[in-house]
Amino acid sequence: MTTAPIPRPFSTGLRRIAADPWLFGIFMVLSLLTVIFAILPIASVLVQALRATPTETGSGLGILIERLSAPLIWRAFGNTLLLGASSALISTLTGFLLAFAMTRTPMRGKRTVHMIALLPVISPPFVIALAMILLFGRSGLITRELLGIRGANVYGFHSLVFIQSLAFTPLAYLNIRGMLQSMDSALEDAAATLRASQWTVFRRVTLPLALPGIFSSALLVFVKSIEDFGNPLVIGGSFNTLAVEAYSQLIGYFNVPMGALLASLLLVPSLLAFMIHRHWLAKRSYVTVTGKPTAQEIRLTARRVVWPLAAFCYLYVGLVVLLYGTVVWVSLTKIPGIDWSFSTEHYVRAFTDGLAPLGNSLTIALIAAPVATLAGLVIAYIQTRRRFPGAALLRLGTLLSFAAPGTIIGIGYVSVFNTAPLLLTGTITIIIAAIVVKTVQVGIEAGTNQLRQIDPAIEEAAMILGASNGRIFRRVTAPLLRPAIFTAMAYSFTRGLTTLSAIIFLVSANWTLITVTILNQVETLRMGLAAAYSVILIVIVLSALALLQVALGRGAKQR
Amino acid sequence: MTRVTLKGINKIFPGRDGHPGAHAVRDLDITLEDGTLVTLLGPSGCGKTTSLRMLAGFETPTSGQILIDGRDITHVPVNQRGIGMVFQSYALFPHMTVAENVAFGLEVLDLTRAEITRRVGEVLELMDLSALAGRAPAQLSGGQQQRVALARTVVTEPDVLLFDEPLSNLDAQLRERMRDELRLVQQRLGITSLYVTHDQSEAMAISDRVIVMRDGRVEQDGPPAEVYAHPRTAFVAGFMGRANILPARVLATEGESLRAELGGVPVTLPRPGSELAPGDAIRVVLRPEQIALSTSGPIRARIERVIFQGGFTEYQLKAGAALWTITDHRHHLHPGHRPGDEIGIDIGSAAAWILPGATD
Repeated sequence: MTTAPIPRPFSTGLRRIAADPWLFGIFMVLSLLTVIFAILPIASVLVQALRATPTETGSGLGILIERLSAPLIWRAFGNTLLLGASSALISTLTGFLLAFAMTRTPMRGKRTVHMIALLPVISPPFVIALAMILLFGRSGLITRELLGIRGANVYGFHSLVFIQSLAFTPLAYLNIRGMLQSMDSALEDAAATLRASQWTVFRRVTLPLALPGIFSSALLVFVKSIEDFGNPLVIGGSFNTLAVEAYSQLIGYFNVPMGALLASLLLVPSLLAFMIHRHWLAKRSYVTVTGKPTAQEIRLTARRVVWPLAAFCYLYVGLVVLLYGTVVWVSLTKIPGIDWSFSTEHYVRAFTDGLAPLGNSLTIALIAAPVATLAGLVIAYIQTRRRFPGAALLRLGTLLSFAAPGTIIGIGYVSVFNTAPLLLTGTITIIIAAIVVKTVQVGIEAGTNQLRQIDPAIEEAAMILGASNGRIFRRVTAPLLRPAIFTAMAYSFTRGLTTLSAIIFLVSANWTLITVTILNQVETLRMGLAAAYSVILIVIVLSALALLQVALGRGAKQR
Repeated sequence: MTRVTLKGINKIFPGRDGHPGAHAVRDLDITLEDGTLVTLLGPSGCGKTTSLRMLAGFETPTSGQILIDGRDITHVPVNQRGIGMVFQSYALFPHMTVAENVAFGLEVLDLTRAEITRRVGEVLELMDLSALAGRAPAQLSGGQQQRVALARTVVTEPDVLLFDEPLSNLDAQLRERMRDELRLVQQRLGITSLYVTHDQSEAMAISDRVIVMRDGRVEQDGPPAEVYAHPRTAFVAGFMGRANILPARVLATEGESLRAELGGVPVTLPRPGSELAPGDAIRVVLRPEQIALSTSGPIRARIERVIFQGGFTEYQLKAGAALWTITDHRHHLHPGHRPGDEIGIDIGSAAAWILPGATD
């Protein structure tokens, strides 16, 4: 039996648009915003890196070669890569040991270790740098008070690696812990029943299965490390990285093309690492992370394994407590390094003179977080549930904005939004836009993962019961996305309060922010005030996360 | 009165990114008479689920028409079709209680609070779910979830009811109980229903009519007993239950019966509708329960395996090159046979079904 050829539908895309004109409208607006706030600024930095200044002659390529021959560029480039690689290595190793001890051994005090290990994620990145200076600096608590060393040099590569490793270990820890938790323990049990020793099980089963998670963590930390601006600025000393060098070329020497070139160079390793992560590692993941930890039986109880691991965890936690404790203590002393008597004057000052930047930061984070969350979830919804024509542009734009270091976003914004009709420099809008663009990807990822776990039949059931698209989103999809909303809100809000690398270019006399203020206090060596601000910031973030948990956790009885 | 007609339906999924498209449903013509339950039966990928989803409105036919009582609904949106559906995964809203799940479809209708409460109460009572009204779906057993899914669907009084493999997530015993419960509710409410499954025994037990599909086409359409006894192809014969499908050759036709050579032995078979001449190749379909082992049976065979199944004993035999399966449902009345025994097969004559040709 043969059938007459049937004409193919000429365009399924058009039909999808017709089925949902409102959603398509939102999609168009989001795509346009992505072009304006992500693709355009990054492109403008790349163009500026090639543009000739009035004093230079010749065309693009010649000028580029000329500029690239400056040794300072390659020193900064090398430094950045060295720093990124070192931090990635140490953070990933530490993170793995923490995660392994937490998921596979009966170590004591797991809850405490977990809570404290996460502290560096929610604090501004340079709080640890501040603590290092307070402890090991010229008038440091340990170096001078305890050991009596004069002229100790805390600045430089060694401190930077130490600080970044500590700051980024939680990222690796969380990532690898998720991987180890979602690994079906039946696999390890099966190996054991085949008479493998515990060491063989670890070497041949656990480690290979966790490897994608380990690599992915290393790449993530690498990207974070080379993007970091606050730590290298505060404690890098003469060890210049691309982010810092770009800033000083631009702000210090007004050398726009050089700043743009350095920022562009920073984009190369970032994008490369990001692409490896997406296209190569994603395909090699053996574990489907369902977000639902399977029951884990703890089989590893040998003391010679558990004790060293536990000791390592406690040491790490002790270090974090020491560093953050120092910041708290210093915030409560009169003049650190000179007069160690108790005083609340720094807090009094922070809450009187210094209230404006704190208020600004809060305002911005409170606006940016819901905007980034909503945008992220809507984009996730469009990308998983509707396939509109042209969705690739939106995907590219949001991925680019996430992978691009804050420095290049900041420089791009200054140049693109400096003229009408996009005159935004000096306004609150530009700062919010930068934060939204830098954090929207987390909402997209969390939303996408959550949506993939929601059986499409659940939305179909609502549809066939007569519900409109709006009602389905309101009553069914949105409530089920609650965990993703929490993740996106928490991340955007925390970043909004603590970020530095992009907004350092965007703050103005009208809109200065708390992180920039702390940085200024550190640079002018008013450590007490800087510490007080840092403590206030951490308290705000912690209370906001707790509030969010209460607000979104209530009624979440499902699953 | 609700009569559903699918007329000349085709569904082609266009290829994307170099993947070829798929012609999932070809020239489908089916009619669901008022109040009947019709099953689409077939292996995975045969187009049965796609057909169901086109009737629901989740897929649009590439060509053809869908009519409910003569009204063309081919392009009516899902939420305006007045169709109810029970999903394979039940698709209960995990963040709502049982009562809230059932009330969802009524809220959409803009009924008063009191009316909603009354109707939810009624249907929960009907489905024996009243005690579970405040529970979350995750706290229910599989069978209870299934009942909630059905309650949520019937409470809106849909014109047509669709079932997408609703029992496949239940274990064997519960599956049979829920199957009978579904059928009872469907008959009591008299809702025209389309039921998709790949399980032939489920299809036969629940349906007024069975439609066997293969590769997007209807292979056979009829009452369950008819399709079981008189399959039109070897595929249908094999899919509707276990069958010995054996090649044979026509020797002669004598009145109402047919002489044929089967496994080297001449046998007498009922004469089929189609014309056959001596020398034609045919296939004989014999259900394992319709034939018997007999010491005097004309076809000689050796028992290879004996499988005790409780209600019956299954024998696997080898006669020449052919493998036979025979089930003995009266095994408690006589001593059993053992592997290696030489024995005869008695095919009787009434129950055999002839398929013309050597292949479909």
